[in-house]
Amino acid sequence: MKTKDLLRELENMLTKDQINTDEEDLYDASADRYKKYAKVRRVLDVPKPQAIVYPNTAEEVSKLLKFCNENKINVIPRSGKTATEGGLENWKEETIVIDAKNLNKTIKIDEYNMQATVQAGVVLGELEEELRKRGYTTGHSPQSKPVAKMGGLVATRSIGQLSTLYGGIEDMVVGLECVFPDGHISRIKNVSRRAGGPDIRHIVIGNEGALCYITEVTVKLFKYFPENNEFHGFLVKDMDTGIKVLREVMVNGYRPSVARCYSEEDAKQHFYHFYKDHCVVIFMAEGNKEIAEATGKGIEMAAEKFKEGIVEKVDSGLLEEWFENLNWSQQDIDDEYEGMLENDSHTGFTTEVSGDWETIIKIYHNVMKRIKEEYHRVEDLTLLGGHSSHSYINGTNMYFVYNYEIHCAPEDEMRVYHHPMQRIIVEETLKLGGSMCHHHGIGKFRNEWTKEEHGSAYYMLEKLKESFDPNNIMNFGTIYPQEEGEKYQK
Amino acid sequence: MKIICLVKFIPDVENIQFDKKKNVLMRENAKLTVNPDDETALAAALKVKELAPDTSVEIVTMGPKGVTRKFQDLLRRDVDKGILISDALYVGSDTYATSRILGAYLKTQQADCIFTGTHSLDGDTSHVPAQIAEILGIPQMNNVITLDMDQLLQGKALLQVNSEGDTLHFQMNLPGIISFEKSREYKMPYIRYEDFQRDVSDKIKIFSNEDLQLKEEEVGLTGSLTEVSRTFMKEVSKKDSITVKNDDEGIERVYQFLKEKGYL
Ligand SMILES: Cc1cc2nc3c(=O)[nH]c(=O)nc-3n(C[C@H](O)[C@H](O)[C@H](O)COP(=O)(O)OP(=O)(O)OC[C@H]3O[C@@H](n4cnc5c(N)ncnc54)[C@H](O)[C@@H]3O)c2cc1C
Repeated sequence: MKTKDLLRELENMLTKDQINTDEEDLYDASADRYKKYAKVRRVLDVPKPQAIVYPNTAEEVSKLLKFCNENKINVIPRSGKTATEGGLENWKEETIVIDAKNLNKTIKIDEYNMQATVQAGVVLGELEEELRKRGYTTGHSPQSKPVAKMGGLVATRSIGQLSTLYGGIEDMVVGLECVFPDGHISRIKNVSRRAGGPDIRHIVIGNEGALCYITEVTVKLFKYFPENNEFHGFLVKDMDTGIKVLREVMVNGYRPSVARCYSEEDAKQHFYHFYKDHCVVIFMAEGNKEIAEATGKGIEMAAEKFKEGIVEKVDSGLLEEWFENLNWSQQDIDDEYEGMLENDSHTGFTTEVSGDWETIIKIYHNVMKRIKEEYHRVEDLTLLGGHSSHSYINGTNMYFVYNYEIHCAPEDEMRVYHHPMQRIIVEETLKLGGSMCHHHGIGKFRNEWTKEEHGSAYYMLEKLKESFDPNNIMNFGTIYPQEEGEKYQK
Repeated sequence: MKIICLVKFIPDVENIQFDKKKNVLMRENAKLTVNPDDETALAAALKVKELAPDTSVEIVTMGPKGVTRKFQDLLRRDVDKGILISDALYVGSDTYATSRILGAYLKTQQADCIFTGTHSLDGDTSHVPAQIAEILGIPQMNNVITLDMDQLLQGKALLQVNSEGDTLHFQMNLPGIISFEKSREYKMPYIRYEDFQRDVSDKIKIFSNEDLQLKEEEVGLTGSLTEVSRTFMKEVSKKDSITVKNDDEGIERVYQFLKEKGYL
């Protein structure tokens, strides 16, 4: 549909101030942080969406989706704009972005039943601030907390830094409301648990805007006891020891909120003031006093068991301070943009994978070896390392981080630098049976491997798309591979 | 027009690692990088070539035989030829012997201009360009910040030169040596995607003393007029560290500290 006609139709559904066609905003809406460098240098190769719209209610979302479905217009759902994997990148000429800016109400904070209901456009950091004033927390603390919004956080199956205690967003969502391409509004009710057939929340959580639009979410609350926080840290001789210490804590039933292990290279960028060329393992124990103390003891016991590999303990004051300054604000994001304008470099790239305890360390070593041996621009790397930051009873994740000097034109950055390394990481992970995407989602640049990631269960994923989004209007190219989009991936 | 650029590869001091146990710099692990002033010189030469595509740009460097990836990367830009001057006899040459070696090569060439950096970050004597000019009997100018490209293509070098903060204008007869200062004025072009893995070995020529025919006593340690009597590693003593909080008091403390040390 021509933009002029589209805008006329949109004006029949919304007021003028709910429709944005500002050229600069449309440029901004054509890609997310995946192509951050090309975006800042203004060399994006993707089309701009035709409009950004700001519905006020689920009913307006319904009308918009129905209209787009009937006219086969691509829809990109958007909330806090912190997507890192291309989930907000546009691959279609005929596209609108549905932004959750006006869905910004906190509907209910229910302290007795320990749950809070908010609309999709509520910033997590703001909700958290309000809750903390009352002595509660959502327990969700991704680094993007000051900017990311509830709709996006649920849509990406995000996870926070305190996940080892509180879980990922999938463990927090009680119920929600979402809208499908045919305009149907579904409300999944808030109950403590049920056995009412398959858990349909999981169709929505992690759909990355490729199946439905999330309008409202109810999440669990937890009591907030910051005064009991304990910090424990160790310099360890290698990643293998570090991962063993994490495992020991987990399999003995302790649930520290933070449990992390950094490679030497990665430790250097975070803990340059105390890492002394070693890997670093850190923990935070939290909760009520008794639990926090018991968890602290469990951590010390695990370290004692592997004392051969422990170089020294880290002063807990240093850790506490580090935690306080971990989150990225909008200012940090803006500063990075400014930096990319000036310099041929940025804060680097990451690829996050997961595996069981036995596998993760093999993946780590295989990836390091292959990148060092095979990658043709290895000399440009200024950092190559990784950390495990989210642990479970049966395994953990690995967050590979790499930074480099950029010697190519901004439009070639991905194919010269990120893609060859991402490919090695994904290949090594899938080969050993791990998952190629621990928490950022598949987005548009790992969809090449979606089938391999899911194996025979891809059948189920495919059927979801076919039944909920038969016209393929939801976030074209996200999660599901699309031949037409390949030109933007190379 | 033919431009020859003299380029030096130096240890990347910004990313050099430090062995905290032995208290020494880990030189062997240091990556090499192009001396920043020389990079500006080459970027300027490539700018000339961009304006006048029939310009030939040659880079000349002196060093060990192994052609580094960094050298190949320079040739993956629009550089026509790379000369590596390398001979065991040249090891230990001081700036004078180095100038003699480079001069011997340059004498065999007919360049309209020789572009160099002014300083090298590692040696920082600025001797080499002037000494080569002396050997070749041509003019030379240090601290050049910009060059009038149109005039250059007409055979005239109009130079803007940084003189301790003032900008002076000079005109130089050609052939001559133009020695640049690191600046943002000339930015090295990016390597094109298609060229990233291109084999550039056909652009590289290695010159040894067999080609340059210098006498043994003119080069290396014996040919050097200066002698390094002693080198020492700067002692790094452990400083007391103070950790401040990210609050007004902490910020004030850091601010006062930087002010006291003259950084602000
Ligand atoms: C500095 C920084 C730190 C980060 N740290 C973490 C971290 O610790 N943990 C983590 O998990 N992630 C992290 N991320 C990634 C990112 O913050 C998360 O993926 C977050 O969940 C995205 O939320 P958002 O509101 O910004 O969503 P957006 O960026 O707006 O969208 C993300 C995806 O969700 C879809 N979407 C958005 N809103 C809706 C909706 N209402 N309905 C349906 N689909 C929707 C979009 O189409 C897109 O595919 C980080 C990102 C940055 C920039």
